[in-house]
Amino acid sequence: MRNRYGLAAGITALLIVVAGCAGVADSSAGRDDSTPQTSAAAPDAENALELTGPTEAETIPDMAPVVSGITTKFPATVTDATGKKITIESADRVLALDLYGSLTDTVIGLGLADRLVGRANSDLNHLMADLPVITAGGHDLNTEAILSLRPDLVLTNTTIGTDNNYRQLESAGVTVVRFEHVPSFESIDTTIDLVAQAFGAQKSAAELSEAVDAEMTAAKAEIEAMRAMTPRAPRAAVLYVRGTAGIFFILGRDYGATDVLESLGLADVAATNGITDLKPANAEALVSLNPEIVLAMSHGIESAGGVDGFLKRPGMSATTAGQNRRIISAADNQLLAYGPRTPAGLLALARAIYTDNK
Amino acid sequence: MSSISRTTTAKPPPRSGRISEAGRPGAPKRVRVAVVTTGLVVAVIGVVLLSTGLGQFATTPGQVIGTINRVVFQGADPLGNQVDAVLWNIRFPRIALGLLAGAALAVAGTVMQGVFANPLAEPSIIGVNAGASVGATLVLVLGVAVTSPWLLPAAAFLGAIVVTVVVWAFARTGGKAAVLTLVLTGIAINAIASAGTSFLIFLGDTTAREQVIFWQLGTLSNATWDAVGVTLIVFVAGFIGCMAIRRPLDVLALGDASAAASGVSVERLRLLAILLACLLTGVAVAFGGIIAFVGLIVPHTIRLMVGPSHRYLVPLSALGGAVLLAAADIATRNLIAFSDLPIGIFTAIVGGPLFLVLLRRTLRGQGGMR
Amino acid sequence: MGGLSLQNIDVRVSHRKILDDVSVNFAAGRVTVVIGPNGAGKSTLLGVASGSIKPHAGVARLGGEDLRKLPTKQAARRRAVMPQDSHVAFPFTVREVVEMGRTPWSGSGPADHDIVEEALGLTGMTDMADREITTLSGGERQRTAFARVITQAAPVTGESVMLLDEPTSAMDIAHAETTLSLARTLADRGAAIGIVLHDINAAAAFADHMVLMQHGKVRVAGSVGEVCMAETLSAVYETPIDVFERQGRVHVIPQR
Repeated sequence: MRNRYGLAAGITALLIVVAGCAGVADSSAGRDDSTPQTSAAAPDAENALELTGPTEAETIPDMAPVVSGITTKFPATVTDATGKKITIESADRVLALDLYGSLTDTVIGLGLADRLVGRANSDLNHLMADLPVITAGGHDLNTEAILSLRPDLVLTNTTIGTDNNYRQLESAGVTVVRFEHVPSFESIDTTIDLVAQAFGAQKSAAELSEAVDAEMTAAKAEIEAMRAMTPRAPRAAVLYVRGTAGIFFILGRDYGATDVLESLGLADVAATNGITDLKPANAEALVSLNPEIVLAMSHGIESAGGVDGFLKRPGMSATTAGQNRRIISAADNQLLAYGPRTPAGLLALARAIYTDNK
Repeated sequence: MSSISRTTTAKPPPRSGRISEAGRPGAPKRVRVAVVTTGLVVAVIGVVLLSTGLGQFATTPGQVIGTINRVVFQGADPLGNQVDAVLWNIRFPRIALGLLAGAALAVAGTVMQGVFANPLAEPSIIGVNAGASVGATLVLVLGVAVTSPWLLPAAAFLGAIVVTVVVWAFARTGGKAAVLTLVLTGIAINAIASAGTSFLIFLGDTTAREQVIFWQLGTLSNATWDAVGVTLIVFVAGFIGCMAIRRPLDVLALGDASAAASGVSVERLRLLAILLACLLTGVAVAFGGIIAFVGLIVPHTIRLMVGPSHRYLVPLSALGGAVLLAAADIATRNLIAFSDLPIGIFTAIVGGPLFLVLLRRTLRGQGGMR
Repeated sequence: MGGLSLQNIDVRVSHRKILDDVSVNFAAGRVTVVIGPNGAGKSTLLGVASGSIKPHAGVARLGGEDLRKLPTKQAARRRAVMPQDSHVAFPFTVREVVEMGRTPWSGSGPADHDIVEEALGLTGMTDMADREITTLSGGERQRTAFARVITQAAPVTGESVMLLDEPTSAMDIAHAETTLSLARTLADRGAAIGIVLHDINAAAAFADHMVLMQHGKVRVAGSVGEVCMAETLSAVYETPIDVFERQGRVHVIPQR
């Protein structure tokens, strides 16, 4: 009798370990690090409602190629964000312009990194270290300078550059594919698919999508494990701040806050209060929302005078998050990015929220 | 022949009672005008040559000539060759717009200074810039600028005209719009328009705000041949209009009463001049954003060199404005790698010191302030 | 016919009458001088005559035609005005300013050039013709303005009217004399000359017809002898004034 129970327990334990390892194998498919995650997370889990003090989510590893041996076929066609059908004749010299870096990550994930000829100053992937930075000028891109890189394909979601820049690139014979910037989980797979289409490589899209999906499933499972010690979903808000002179907003679903917060097991106070786009984070708004945890971009907090400066904003100190100094920050292109690295980004945030690893 | 009597002055003209300052020394007017004209024409040619050859997409003069040869004389499609496409579709229209917008702004400034009989006048007084701001900001905040490349310029142009008309309408009392009334009304309406723009900015999202800021700093990066075409038409019409009123504009320097007594329809002239200034500035602002300073500095500088007669002032200001803006734009698009700087910065940096130098030289030549 | 006549002119500024039922005739071939104390309405009168002030009542006629019906340019060909303030906003040369007198006459042909040169000669401004007007003294600017007026009125005929508002106020005695003599000569050519003067003696010396104003009304109008009477002047100027004749000329001196 005892032996059978022992065997059952042993098999169950083995199955759990195997499942865990499989999860590790899947979740590390798109990342460079080799530290096993699953075993570290759950034991560290604490009650998020009781944790205090600011934490920065660790920087997630660079995107690494997932698809190997991709076959591209030209001319390729893809329907862009305006509904127009674009024909791509060639894609030997490519630019991926996206403020959050997701398009770049997608291109790298598809194994096409060697075709990139330039980067935005937010693209810090080591694979692109030698490429010229084309967004040095802030708002307006210098069309001629971009053309000096002789790109034949530009992928953009127009979060960088103006419409005029893209029209001018087209008038110089460059193919521009405009993607829609939709900050939600569903859009990740859609974007991967569309980007692959632009290279005539639809079949490879699935490979990358599945890898990302698997990673996401594993991440969610891990996050569930980390949530174990927290009795209820903490109220949280994503705040956008820049400097100290009036740029301070509560972000809603339209800006990608909801999906992130919900997947982290947090209650989105913006959503429950009907904020869909953004709302000025003035004192009354903050107090009435009263988040227990605040998520914000690291650069934004820095520009606001660090956590101390951030907490000095009127109304912040009246919130639970303010009193507990529970500010979770993450790199700009990690917090609200919806791309192949989102699962890793979520995990990093979850660790910051649910563990005490400072 | 006149029948003015010749019998009066038997004695030689008496010397004036006080020691007058030395008048402008040296060369007679015609020589000065010729020198300045030649200088400006050479400058325009020089700026064009320099401009066509300089850009962050490296080109050789041979390629520039080749493109012109192929597209203009052989009717080739610029898209057939990437160098042609970059030069013809991106660089050349920008240079052309710089020349035309600069000329338009300068002529508008000239006419404004004439019609207000004041060397400190410029088109922003009557609300052109504020009005264009409202129109442009509205389009940017509504996020509809994408729907057509004409929407933003049209809105800016319309805004400029509407606000100018409002200023004029409010300044008219009893059928007349005196200079002081125009200025004060302009100040009030400008403030209101400015408030409108600020409110719209507040309503907009971060992207819209950034776009508004950069629009207000001015840029020629939106140049297309279409834009150049429209600007050319408006500029030529405006220029002809301004030249047509060059003599009555001169007479306004005598003051409204004397001008009227000299047979000038002061009210109509003022309205026409303001309209012309509004159109010229409006088209420049529509495609280039707010480019300050050109309308104030260029006519002033040219006047210091060739005197206040509009017959020379208008065309030479046009040349001067063209040079200033086209030269400034060389800097904006070449100075910093991968950057396209706002042009308002450069018109000020170039125009300001130049004006100071000229002013000091003139004052020194006259032994101090008048 | 020529000349400029004002009949029953009223000018009001918020219920106060600046000019009250004023009638003055600037007849052709005659120098009419308007004098009076400060605030009498002299400049306002000239303003109505020059068309810059619209009267609330009464009619102004230029050569018999109602001013209100006369187009600006046509009126400018017959009537030239020298304002009290000869300020010029931009540094035009003297010659350029004088040339502006030809504005109502379309085209700038060789005849214009001769007219301008002649006007410069008559006012003694030929040597200063290329000087910027902003560098000139007040008197020199007034002479320039007068040259402009002459240029505008040319050819001077019985149809011409010239209105001069304090044309010698900044001039020294020599230039003042020359200027008023020139006005006299122009009148001899047939023009109607209207001058507002402060200097009663100068007025007495050059006027054919004098108009004495007080408080917006014409107190006395007539020949020099009729207007320059000690009692009248003393009453109007509210200060004791002596009038005496010497060598056929009238002299007016305040009692000291």
